[in-house]
Parts: sequence; structure tokens; C-alpha cells
Amino acid sequence: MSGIAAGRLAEERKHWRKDHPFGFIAKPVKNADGTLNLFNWECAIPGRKDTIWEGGLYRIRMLFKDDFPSTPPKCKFEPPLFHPNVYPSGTVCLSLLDENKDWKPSISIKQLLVGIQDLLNNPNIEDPAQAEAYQIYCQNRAEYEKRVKKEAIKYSAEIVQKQMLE
Amino acid sequence: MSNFGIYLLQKSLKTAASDIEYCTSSVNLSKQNELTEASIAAVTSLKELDNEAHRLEVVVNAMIEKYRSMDDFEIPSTKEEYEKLFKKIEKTKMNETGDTSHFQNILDSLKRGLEEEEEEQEDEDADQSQDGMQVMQIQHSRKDPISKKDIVNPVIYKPCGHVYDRDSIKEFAGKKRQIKCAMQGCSQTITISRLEDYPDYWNNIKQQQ
Repeated sequence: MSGIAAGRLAEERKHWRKDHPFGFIAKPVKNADGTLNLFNWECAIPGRKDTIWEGGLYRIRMLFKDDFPSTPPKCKFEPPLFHPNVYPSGTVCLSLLDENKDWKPSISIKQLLVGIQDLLNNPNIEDPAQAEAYQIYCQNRAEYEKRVKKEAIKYSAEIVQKQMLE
Repeated sequence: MSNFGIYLLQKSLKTAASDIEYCTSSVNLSKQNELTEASIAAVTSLKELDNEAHRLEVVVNAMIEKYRSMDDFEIPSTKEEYEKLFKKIEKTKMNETGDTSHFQNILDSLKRGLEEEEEEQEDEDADQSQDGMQVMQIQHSRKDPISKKDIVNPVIYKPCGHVYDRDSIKEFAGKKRQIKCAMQGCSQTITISRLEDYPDYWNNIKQQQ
């Protein structure tokens, strides 16, 4: 199965380099010997304009298994993000990323990243993954927005872009 | 002073028409067409009102003129006489109109919006048929949905119409006899043995180009 996964990920890389949505970053990490590890991607999702997430660039790692694209990649915000659908570990809880829900082998990395960007401003209250963001979101919306805006400043696109070049 | 009242009325009518134009242009609704049509009707009524107001002003002015000259003019003593006289003068002033151009400009601009809207609609219709084409294109994308490489040996699963590369889907299925269709939004279960060769794929690809 690993043959399919590696081939597919190489195609994903090709497509991404040819064309990707503005402000997003996605690249496989480099092994110690300088070769690419196609099963481990470092990505970054910009907060959508005109939302409380605007200005931030949120780092997320995509980890693919050998049986990709049978199974979706594990997507993990690094560092973990303050969001109702992000586990304390940083892992994203989203039906699109669930093998038993909406994941389909034809879904591209681009579609996943855009899907997660969409989740940022549209949390799914039916499926909370961390207590803190969930409770604040439900109990005190003003406080929630304040916290998110603070994150957007903390992870401002400028700073994170620099970090990712290091 | 009564003239001044009419002037104000006409000014309000004009402002109302401009406001309607502004509202119609600045709102982006799915029902924009309906709104535009309603606005055209409203502005047309305003245009009529403006005409009436203007005519009223002209006729009253004419009556005042007559009253002032006092030659063969009798001041109407009853309401009926007044109305009779008014109608008589009004007849001579029928082709008096208000500020037609102001309203006509707005109407033109609204109608233009409607036409554009229709064109967009047509575009959308075209888009939709293109979407239809895109569905075909997804079905008949050059790329296999699993490997994302160009399809070499096209096979189709007729129940859902999705096309795969034979080697790709067979390798993906491995020992499984059935797999879920890999396309987003498709709930078909594909029985591998029921995949059919699809030579027409190449014609479809050519047609798309």
C-alpha cells in the first residue's frame, strides 16, 4: 500500500507547487539526509479575512499513514490551538478527517486545509474536543472572541512565516 | 407659497426614486431580480406622481394668471365650477411633464441592472451546465481520484459513473472485492469485478478540450 501512498503524496506535492490558495503553506519535512519525507507535512493555515482569526497563521502538521489515501492524515495544530474542535493535543476533530465519516480518498491536501480554515470560524458545537474553548465559546462569546484575537496576534502571519523558514 | 409646497413634493419624489435605485443596486440578494422589478414599478409610479404634481403646479399657475388678468375670467364660486375650470385648463397642459429625465435615468439604470442580471443568470445557467460538465469532468478528469496521476486505462463504474484508472483502483482495493467509491459526495460501493473498460473516456476528454 505504501507505493500508492508515496505516489499520491508526490502528486499532491506537485499540484500544490503548481497552484495553492493564497496565504497557505504546505511542505513535506526534510529528512536528515536532505530527502523529503512525504508522510509528514508542515503546513500553515491563515485565518480567514473579516473573521476574528484574521491576521493569524496557524501551524498544523499533517501525518500520513502507509494506507493513505484509504485513511485521512492526522492533522495536528502545533502548538495546540484554542478552538472548540481541537483536542488539547492539537489534533483536529472534523468529519472530513474521519475515516468513518466524510473522508474520501479523492480529497486533496488543498481541500483539507481549506476545510480546516473553514472550521476555525465555524466551530461544531456538537463535537467538542477541548473543555476550555468549548465552555468559553458557549458561556461568554465576548471573552471567546477576545481570546481568539489574542491568538491571532500571538501567531501573526509575519512571525509564523519567519519561524517556518528557520 | 403653494408652489413651494409642490416643489418640495417633487423634490421628495425624486429623492425617493434615487433612494430606490441606491437600495436596489447596493443589496445583493438572490431575489435581486424581483427587487429590481418592484423598484422599476415603484419608480414608474413616482414618475407618474411627479408628472401629476408638475401638471397641478402648471394648471394652478395658469389659473392664477387668469385670475390676475381678470378679463373674461370668473372666479369659480363652487367646487364643481372650480373642478370644471381646472379640467379645462388641464386639457391644454396635458403634455406638461415633470422632470422626466431624472426618473428615466433611474429607470434605465434599473433596467440595465435587470438585463445584466439576466445575462448573469444566463452566465449562471451556462455555469451550471458547465458545472454539469465539471461533474462530467470530475467523472472524466484526466486524473485518477486515488493516485491523482493521469488515467492510462480508464474503467467506469456504471452505477455512479465515476472513472478510475484500472491499475490504480485494483491496487487500491487489494484483496477487497468491494470498496467505497473514492469520490467526494458519492455513496456508491464499487464491486471491483463490475468495473467496465471505458474507451469512450478518450472521446470525452477530447471533447472537453
